[in-house]
Amino acid sequence: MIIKKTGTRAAILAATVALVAAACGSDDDDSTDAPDEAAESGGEFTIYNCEPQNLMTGNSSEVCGSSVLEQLYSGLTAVDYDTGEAYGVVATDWETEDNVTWTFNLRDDFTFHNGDPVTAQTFADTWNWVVDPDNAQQNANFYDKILGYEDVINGDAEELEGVRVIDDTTLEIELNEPFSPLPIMLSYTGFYPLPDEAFEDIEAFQESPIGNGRYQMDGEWQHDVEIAMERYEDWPGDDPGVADRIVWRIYDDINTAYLDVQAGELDVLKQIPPERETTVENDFGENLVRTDTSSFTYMGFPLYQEEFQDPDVRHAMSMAIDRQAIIDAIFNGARSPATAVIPPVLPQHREDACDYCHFDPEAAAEMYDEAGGPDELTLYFNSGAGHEDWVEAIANQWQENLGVEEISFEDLEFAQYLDLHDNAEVTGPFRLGWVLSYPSPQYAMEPIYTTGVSSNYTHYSNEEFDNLITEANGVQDQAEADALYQEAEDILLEDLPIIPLWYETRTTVHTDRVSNVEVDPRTFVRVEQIQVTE
Amino acid sequence: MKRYVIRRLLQFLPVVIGATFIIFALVFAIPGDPIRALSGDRPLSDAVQETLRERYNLNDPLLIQYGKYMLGLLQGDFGTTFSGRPVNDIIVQRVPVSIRLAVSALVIQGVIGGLAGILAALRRQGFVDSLVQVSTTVLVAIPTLVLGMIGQVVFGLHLGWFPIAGIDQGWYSYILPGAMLASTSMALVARLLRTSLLENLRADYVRMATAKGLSRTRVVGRHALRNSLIPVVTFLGADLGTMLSGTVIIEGIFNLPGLGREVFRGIQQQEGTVVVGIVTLFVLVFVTLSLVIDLLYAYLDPRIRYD
Repeated sequence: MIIKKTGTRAAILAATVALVAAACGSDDDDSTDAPDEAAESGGEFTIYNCEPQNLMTGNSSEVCGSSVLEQLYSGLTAVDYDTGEAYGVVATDWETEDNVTWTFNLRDDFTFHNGDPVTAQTFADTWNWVVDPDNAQQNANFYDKILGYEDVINGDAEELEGVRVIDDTTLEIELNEPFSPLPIMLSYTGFYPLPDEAFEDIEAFQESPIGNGRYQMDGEWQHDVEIAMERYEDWPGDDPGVADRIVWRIYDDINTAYLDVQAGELDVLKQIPPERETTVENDFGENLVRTDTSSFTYMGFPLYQEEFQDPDVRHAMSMAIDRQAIIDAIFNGARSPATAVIPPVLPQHREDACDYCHFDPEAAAEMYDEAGGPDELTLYFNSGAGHEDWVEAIANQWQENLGVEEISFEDLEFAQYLDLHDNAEVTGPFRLGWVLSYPSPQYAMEPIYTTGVSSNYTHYSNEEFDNLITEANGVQDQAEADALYQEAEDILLEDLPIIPLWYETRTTVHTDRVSNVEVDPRTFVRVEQIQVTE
Repeated sequence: MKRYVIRRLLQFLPVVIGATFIIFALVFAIPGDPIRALSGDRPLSDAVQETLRERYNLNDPLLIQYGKYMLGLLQGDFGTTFSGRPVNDIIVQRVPVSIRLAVSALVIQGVIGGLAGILAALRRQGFVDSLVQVSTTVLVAIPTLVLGMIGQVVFGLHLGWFPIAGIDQGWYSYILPGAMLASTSMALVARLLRTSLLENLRADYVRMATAKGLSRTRVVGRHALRNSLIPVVTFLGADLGTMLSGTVIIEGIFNLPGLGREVFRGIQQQEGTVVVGIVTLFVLVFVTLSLVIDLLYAYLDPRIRYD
């Protein structure tokens, strides 16, 4: 979930990074225009990837691993990005009366690539294994809404009390509290099913994972070289993969990959180096796709520090930033200014949600003065991830527009950066980001802004906001829930514990050999629908 | 000679122990908690973090951690990465890549640099000499990083002579990265050999050989050149260190899955086992090669004795 980088080298770091984005969806060609009816399947293409931190569903919290895993696995559900709603993949349908106890009906024709059937028991076994602290899976805390999570984590129980197998095709899930986005959440990487074989030796298993997805591994994961997969012909879904074979070429440096696409050695590159934005149209002509994503960058305030407690200080600082100017000058236009915290890629987004996100230097200066904003600021960001330029630009604007006299910078290695946050030792505005692991307005807000949650680095706490989120999570009706989420968002944008800055626009380039290249809001290329044209 | 070799081999031990400990301590001293950073700003649950710290001995004090690591190392176990992959596997996969890159670079700097140096010395002040002087100055002045990127765009993308990245085409894939890695040293070898050869060509023993009526080829090849190689060999030995650090850059640019890249990643992620494992290997290679080079002196100049 965080975006720790925009750049190239950072991609390598995916590990530390964290951009999780992993929700799924993949398993179906959601939405978007499906390939032409006449789309001919077949062929092989290569696509850029960074070296995954690992290839274990329960342990993959970054985009390099998750984008591969979502082709190898099919979850209970996937998401249609047009409507923002979940639909069944392994599940046929589900029902709940109170958003607490859910019954999922499963298809009986899904199999793992080794022939093992996928049943309700498979999901229960996988989930219990992922949550078991002995297995140290990074995605374990995505299960914290399921009844019995705490007991398993504390070693008081072996299995999740809230996951019950009724029969082979019926799975019952009971939660701690009402949570209506459950079907959307279950589309996330961390909830994919694993075959029994995986539990014998997970480290060996991940070198050539066996899944139940559209594609299966073709040989082993060649670290830092490539991951090859071929279509799994027994995948029972409606929209199997189009190409016969997909090769993920692993690159260290996105600049190298860019040259390779130019030379025709690589077919798809999902993100270009920022400095190429100015020349990409010359280099690729029609073979480029621009997509809005949920990748959100913000400046948070350490609300535990005295000088940032007046909301007007925060409002003024937000209004003193000319987002578009920074986007044009530093990102060559490849961002869109943020005017909300629910991102534009979700149907619940409202363009005019934020009253303090437009550039108004005069009003900002006056407000800052009256509220007695600090004369000296220290800005925090993690180093080596391409943040230097824009953080400096913001500092300049604050100096110019608010009369801040002195601004200093703390750029730290990521691990060190997080340590400072954990110890509440940050003394000024800090950079962080967020990518939706699953596309729900709940996920855009609850994990960052509710009281006491682990990614709430501002230490923001507003009871009314918390209650609205809880209420929205519990409501049956989607429209009603959306309205409540938006109401919560309004409170957030009034309190402004963070300054919304921008959403990333992805530029994806490809060769003449492929068509129908699309990127979804999680920043994943929909590889399963890419067509090889020659 | 034999005693000399044994004595040198015994010196390996403290060097390796000292080097591994220093590196281990340096990684240990990097601020920030590597486990905390694993999943970015969405923290892992405490239970998961605790299991991981326990598994990688991160709760132990430095000396205990180092002791456990060395104990494993003695049994041939280099430990595992944070995602559970044995470092042994990583080394086995990457060593051939790095060796090929190093060999390509060595051959290129030895052959091309050597030839350029000889030709320049033999035709002093001539066209070739001026060309070598100018081109080597330019090469020495450009950092490997810049040269690598330029070479990649010119020879890989625009001319299409060599692959831009990867190791798909076997040895052929290593020519361009090898040349870029070798460039600085190649220029230095050329200059060094030129100077050294010029000096020797004026020496008494060469005049003597010429006076005896030996052919020019024989005078230069058997006498002057052999003696002139001593400083070059010394340089090549010392240069290995520079080359190892160059692999980090070149492997990154040309996307070669070698050891340099892995060390870089290991440092960034504070994976002590990976960094120490690979650097230990580097140290071993380095000390072995310096021994080989010391032994070469005797061959080049029979007057050199080892006891």
